[in-house]
Amino acid sequence: MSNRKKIGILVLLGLSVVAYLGYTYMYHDHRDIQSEAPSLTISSSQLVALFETESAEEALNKTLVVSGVVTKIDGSLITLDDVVDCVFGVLPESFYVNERIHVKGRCIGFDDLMGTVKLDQCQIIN
Amino acid sequence: MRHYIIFTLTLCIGFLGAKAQEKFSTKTGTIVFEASVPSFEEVKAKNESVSALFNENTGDFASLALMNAFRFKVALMEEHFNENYMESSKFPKAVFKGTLKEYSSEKISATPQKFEMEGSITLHGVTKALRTEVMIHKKGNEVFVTSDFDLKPEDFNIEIPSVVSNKIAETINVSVNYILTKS
Repeated sequence: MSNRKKIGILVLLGLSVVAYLGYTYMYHDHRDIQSEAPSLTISSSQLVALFETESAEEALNKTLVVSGVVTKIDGSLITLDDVVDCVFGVLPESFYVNERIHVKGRCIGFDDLMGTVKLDQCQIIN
Repeated sequence: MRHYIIFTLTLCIGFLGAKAQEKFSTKTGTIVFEASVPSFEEVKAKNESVSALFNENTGDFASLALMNAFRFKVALMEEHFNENYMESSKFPKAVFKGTLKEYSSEKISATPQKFEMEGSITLHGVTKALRTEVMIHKKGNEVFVTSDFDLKPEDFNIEIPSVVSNKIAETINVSVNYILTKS
């Protein structure tokens, strides 16, 4: 094989690696909250306290496990102790009001309008 | 004695007024925004957990969207949106507060009615006046509110790097959709 051919093959190989890396960077998957290890395991009131004491960065955009008693079920949204709203992608089948549950989800922030901390991509992990 | 009667009457009227006050709310409103440019990747995101409050008596309206709740099809776009453009850890929410113009609760019926909403929107730490048309109707215990408006990133000090600026539209179309229930 001539040197020129070898270089040509190497360049082609290099380019395809760059293209592959570029593509996987551009189109990497969304975070899978349920497979992530939780950075905090806390109660609903402790979570609210984090936002009241300006320690929001400990929770914001992090995967958490929050425990509390179900106070309201509204479509795909479950409220724990009136202070934490959990948004589910797929609503679990077996749970009821007044039940104590553990919810794993991503904390998306404090909702001043409703006075609740919100989690999304939730799943019950009792 | 007369003072006493007037006082009691005022109190009663006050109570009646308070009782007739109808507040509606939702925690699962939807906001979709799109800033796509033809022949480039779609720039579109959806937030399905927007909170909103509506006072049927006064026409006052408020809504709050958490920035982290906007979901994009492309994960990297979502990361850039939160980390570089909206700086969601610093400015985690967008808030709108407004009032319907020339409003009276009798104007709301089962058929969608057009109203003008005047208020202010706070986004990325910047507050701007916003005037938009909204469609409102009511069915039973539910009030339906929809609206469409345009926003410009530059108005809110959101810098789009020149490398991607040709792939993101200059005006961003926002459509909102709320189904509020009596609270």
